[in-house]
Amino acid sequence: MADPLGFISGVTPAGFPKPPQTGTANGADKAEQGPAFRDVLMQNLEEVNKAQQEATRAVEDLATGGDTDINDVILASQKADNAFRMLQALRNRMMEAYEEIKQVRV
Amino acid sequence: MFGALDISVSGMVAQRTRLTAISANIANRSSYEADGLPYRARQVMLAPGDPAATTASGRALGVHVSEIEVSQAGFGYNWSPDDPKAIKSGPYAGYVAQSNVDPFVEQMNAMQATRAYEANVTAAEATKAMVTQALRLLA
Amino acid sequence: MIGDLSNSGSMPVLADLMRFTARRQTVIAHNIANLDTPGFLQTDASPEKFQEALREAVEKRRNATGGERGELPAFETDEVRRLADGSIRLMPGTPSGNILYHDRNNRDLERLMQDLSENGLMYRVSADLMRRQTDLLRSAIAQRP
Repeated sequence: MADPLGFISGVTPAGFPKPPQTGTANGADKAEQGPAFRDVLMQNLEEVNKAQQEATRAVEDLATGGDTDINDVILASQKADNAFRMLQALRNRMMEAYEEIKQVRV
Repeated sequence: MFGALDISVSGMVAQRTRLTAISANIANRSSYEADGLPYRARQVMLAPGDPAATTASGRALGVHVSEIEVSQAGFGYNWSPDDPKAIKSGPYAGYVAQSNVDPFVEQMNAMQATRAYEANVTAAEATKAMVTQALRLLA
Repeated sequence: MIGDLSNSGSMPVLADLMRFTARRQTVIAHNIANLDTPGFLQTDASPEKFQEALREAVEKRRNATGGERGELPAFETDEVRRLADGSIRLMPGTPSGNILYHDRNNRDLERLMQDLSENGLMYRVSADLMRRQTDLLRSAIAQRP
């Protein structure tokens, strides 16, 4: 057989493992991955914003003599900081990836 | 906040003046003044405010020594007619006048002055720590 | 935009607390310096009352701008006056409940020492939290963590 793994005809002969999906089957998925990723990004942005707002609220509560303890404030601040740094790292990586792709000579 | 340092230092200076006067009193318990009378205790009078400050608000805060009063308390008298310093005539003839410094009172005052001095030093240290904290904001 | 930078999040509240504790440090130092002055009555600006008024100002800001943006409004209590530009004037009152000594001074050394450490601690907490905020802002501006 000229096509033992079935790459050309797209049909895998019996007894061989399935190759990774290429072609139309994957194209449909990729069309769905674009907006899905953006939604994930926006959702993460929302969460980071919420974490920051919670940290701000905890600090204000501590400063105005409320029930919040200093450890609560520290925990909330750490959470917000980590979320923000994660978002920043994500953004930096995406920018790098974009720069790399931009330089691909077609 | 440097005003707070000025205030604490004025407190320390006032208490040290007080301690100096107390030491002078204890040291001079047996001395006699120029007019032949025994030594009168010197007492330091404190008052709020610091006239040496440069600004009007600075002059209202802190503490200073308003005057060093010579105590007019009565002398003690000891019967000692052979002493050359004995009083020659009057109701106290034959008695020798003693200084009006009370060592126990002076000791208590010394303890109080030391305690107030230490409190002022603690306050100055706390202010310095706060200023250092603020400077770390910049770094 | 630049104004909003310094009013973002909890920075105005922390700045107010820092200013108040700095002013109160002067009052406490004055009380300690006059421990032995006859006729002197101790004064104090209560931090609880200031924090109450600060809490109301924060609520007002939250209702006005719907979040953690904008300046804090000016407020005034019987001991503190906070102007719109953020500066704070203290009018300390005499606390009651202290023993009046024979020299008509109502010192309370233990309470004074407690006030001193508490004040320093409050200042330190607000300065450290403020530093965290500025670090966050700086890292966001520089795009580097």
